[in-house]
Amino acid sequence: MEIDLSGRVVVVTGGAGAIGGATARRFAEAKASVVVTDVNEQGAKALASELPSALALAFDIRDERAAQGAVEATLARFGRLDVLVNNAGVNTFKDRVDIDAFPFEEWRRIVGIDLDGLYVMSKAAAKPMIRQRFGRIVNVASVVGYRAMRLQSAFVAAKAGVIHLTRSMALELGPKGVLVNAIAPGSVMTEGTRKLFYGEDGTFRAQTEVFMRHIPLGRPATVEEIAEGILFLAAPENSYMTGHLLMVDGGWTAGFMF
Amino acid sequence: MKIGLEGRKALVAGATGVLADGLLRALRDNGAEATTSPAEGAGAEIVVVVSAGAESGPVADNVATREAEDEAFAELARTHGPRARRLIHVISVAAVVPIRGAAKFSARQAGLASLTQALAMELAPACLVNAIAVGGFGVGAERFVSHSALRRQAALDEIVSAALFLANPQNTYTTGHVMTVDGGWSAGYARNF
Repeated sequence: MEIDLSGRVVVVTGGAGAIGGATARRFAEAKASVVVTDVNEQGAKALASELPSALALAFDIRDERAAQGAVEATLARFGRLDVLVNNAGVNTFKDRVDIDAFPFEEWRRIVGIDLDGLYVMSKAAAKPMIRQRFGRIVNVASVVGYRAMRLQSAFVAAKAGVIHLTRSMALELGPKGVLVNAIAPGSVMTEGTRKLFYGEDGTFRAQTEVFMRHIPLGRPATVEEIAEGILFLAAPENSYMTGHLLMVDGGWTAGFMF
Repeated sequence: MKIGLEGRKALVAGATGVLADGLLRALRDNGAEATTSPAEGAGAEIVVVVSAGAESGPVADNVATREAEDEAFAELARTHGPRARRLIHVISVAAVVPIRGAAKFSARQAGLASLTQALAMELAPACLVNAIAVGGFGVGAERFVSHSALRRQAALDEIVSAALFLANPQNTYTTGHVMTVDGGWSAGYARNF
């Protein structure tokens, strides 16, 4: 898909991560200037240094003043802000337990980053977008926000919140020229999931094999496949879809594969 | 937005009209050898079926012709599905949120969405099957305007670009999806009551 984003400025949060990194690279390929934000300063800088027009910003996404500062730094450097990709997010890897055993600190950490962080960034970025009367916000949700799943209640709740917040922001910002959509990745092959589900460690290997039989395409997504969906939602060519949840899940949520 | 369909055969079938014409033109502009003739389109890699016919009006209306749509889609899927790589079903957003005064139309469109998703499971992994649920376009579109986030009707190109995203050979992990292209109409209540 050839999309020309010359002169456009894109902020990708969680840019040092797997999906965020692929997304930042895909936007750079479409000729956009990219602001890579992450709590991991080294990772953000390393990626930004590889892109032709980029800026790295390190901060904790839960910090409202820092988020506001990131938007100001973006405007100071590039003069505008066209696209915000709210990609920063975490899930639990250690506490794969039912709700009755789920630690509150872990709940607060996940909801704080995945939902509060997304609110904080969207609020800050919406202001210049409204002034420009052009903007695209793309929220990285998850299939679990649409169909609930076990052993990750905080992530399920946060992502369901992201999906409905997407709709409410779309209704509010649509008349002001800002389109807001979400993407729901299914299982994605990243360093984290490679170790947990697909890798040598093998803890979940049997479950993973059964799980893959429930996905019509029978495999996890690549990060590039997710980035392609994000790029489409962010493109000027997408001008009539808003409040939508785009599934990029290999058909996982289409129905039941008995 | 440009996608690479050079050398690929495409078929646009189902209801005729502005939407089908626009889709045909876009597929050709992006390099596909596209036709509206099911015979010429035999073996097509990309099959687009337009089932977003005009609304039926109140319940009692015109059932026979509308019931033909799901059979027509199923027949096209049977014929072309085994060779196709992308099947795109253009339906109405009434599939997602029913419209007052168009009960049967809405129910049938919901059925078409479900049919699309069921077919996605059957044809995976060789063929990706998705629907575009269109709102704010064509007959009756003016009713959408004050209820949608974008407060305007859709332009043909805006529906076409969603279809191109699904037809894109680089779109390789979205299947069984109903993509609403409706200016935010189905996202919630856009009006201040």
